[in-house]
Amino acid sequence: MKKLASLLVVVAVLSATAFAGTIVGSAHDFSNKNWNNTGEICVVCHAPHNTNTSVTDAPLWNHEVTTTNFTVYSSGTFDGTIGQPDGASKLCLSCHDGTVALDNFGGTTNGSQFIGGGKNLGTDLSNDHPVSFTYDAALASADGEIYNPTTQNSGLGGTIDQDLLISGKMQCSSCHDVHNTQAVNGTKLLVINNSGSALCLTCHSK
Amino acid sequence: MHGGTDEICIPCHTPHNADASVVDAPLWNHEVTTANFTPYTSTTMDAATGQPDGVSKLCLSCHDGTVALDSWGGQTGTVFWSSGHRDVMGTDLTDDHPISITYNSALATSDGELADPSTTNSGLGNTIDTDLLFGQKLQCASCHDVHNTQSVPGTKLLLISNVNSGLCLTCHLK
Repeated sequence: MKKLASLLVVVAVLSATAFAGTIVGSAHDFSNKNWNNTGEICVVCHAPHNTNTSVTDAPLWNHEVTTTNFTVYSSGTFDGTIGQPDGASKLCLSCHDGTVALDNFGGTTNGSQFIGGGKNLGTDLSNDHPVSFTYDAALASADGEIYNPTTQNSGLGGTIDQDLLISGKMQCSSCHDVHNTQAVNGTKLLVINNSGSALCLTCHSK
Repeated sequence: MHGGTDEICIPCHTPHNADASVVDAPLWNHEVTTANFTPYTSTTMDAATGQPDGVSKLCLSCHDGTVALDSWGGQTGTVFWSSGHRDVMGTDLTDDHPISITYNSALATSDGELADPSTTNSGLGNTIDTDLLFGQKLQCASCHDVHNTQSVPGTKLLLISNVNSGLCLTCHLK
């Protein structure tokens, strides 16, 4: 019965989603910004040559990387270990922590545009969902109220581990699709529609 | 041009006594690099990487910085790019777009965000596979037109304009 209920939830979520399909025209399409005079979209983050390889798995990275020492999320009810943001999250925070100019790409270091408003997470991440922590079967077992990511379906076709985690870690990109390729229309680039909190409930067994 | 000639083609090509050691090297006349490269790798890349081959190996025979630009026609040259010159890739290719990788329908399927090269138009008249790939492999010449015959003016010999990242988005479904 529980399986049928969760199957119905999955079907409902899938039928409610609408994929945007492309970075063109999305929140990360900076081609028309006055601080980007290249006429290109990808170049703000990526380049084919002479890229920054300092962050693990940074894909042909072309933007200045943040050097912030973050205050990370902590909680007495969290069973895992949360260290400094790494991998994809470190790349996201290289604009979203507010310390690196948006136009510091392609070697430019004297940019003047900074992210504003609610998109600026700042350097204190204690008020944000934890990232860059290992989310595995052991964590699920220790916590008791999160699903085993290696066996639980994500709703996107595979398991949570296959579809949402990067090398077994939860990162910003576990919830947000940076390129808007498969993001849900009308959301903050969410990979899963959060109507009915379905995104939250993908991992949190509440 | 370096090497004591007023010819254009000769630093790379010659009609006789050419170097046939590199697969598909067209009447090759320049010293071929013997460098051992560190190829690009990524946990999100499904393609297998290896040493540069084919066309890319020829390009790197100047662009890796290890062979003198005027080492052609059997002569050993002395002219090198200045250190750190941005046209020198070096032998560490981890910071460059992968090349000499097989890009076929199977790769597109396993990746999920690459256009199927055998069915997707390149924008140049035929499919990506026909217009841009060499034996189904992505090489330097998949993006750069070495002879400037069809390249977009004002670019680094790009085959397709990268305005609005059009070149990137030809293959990458983002």
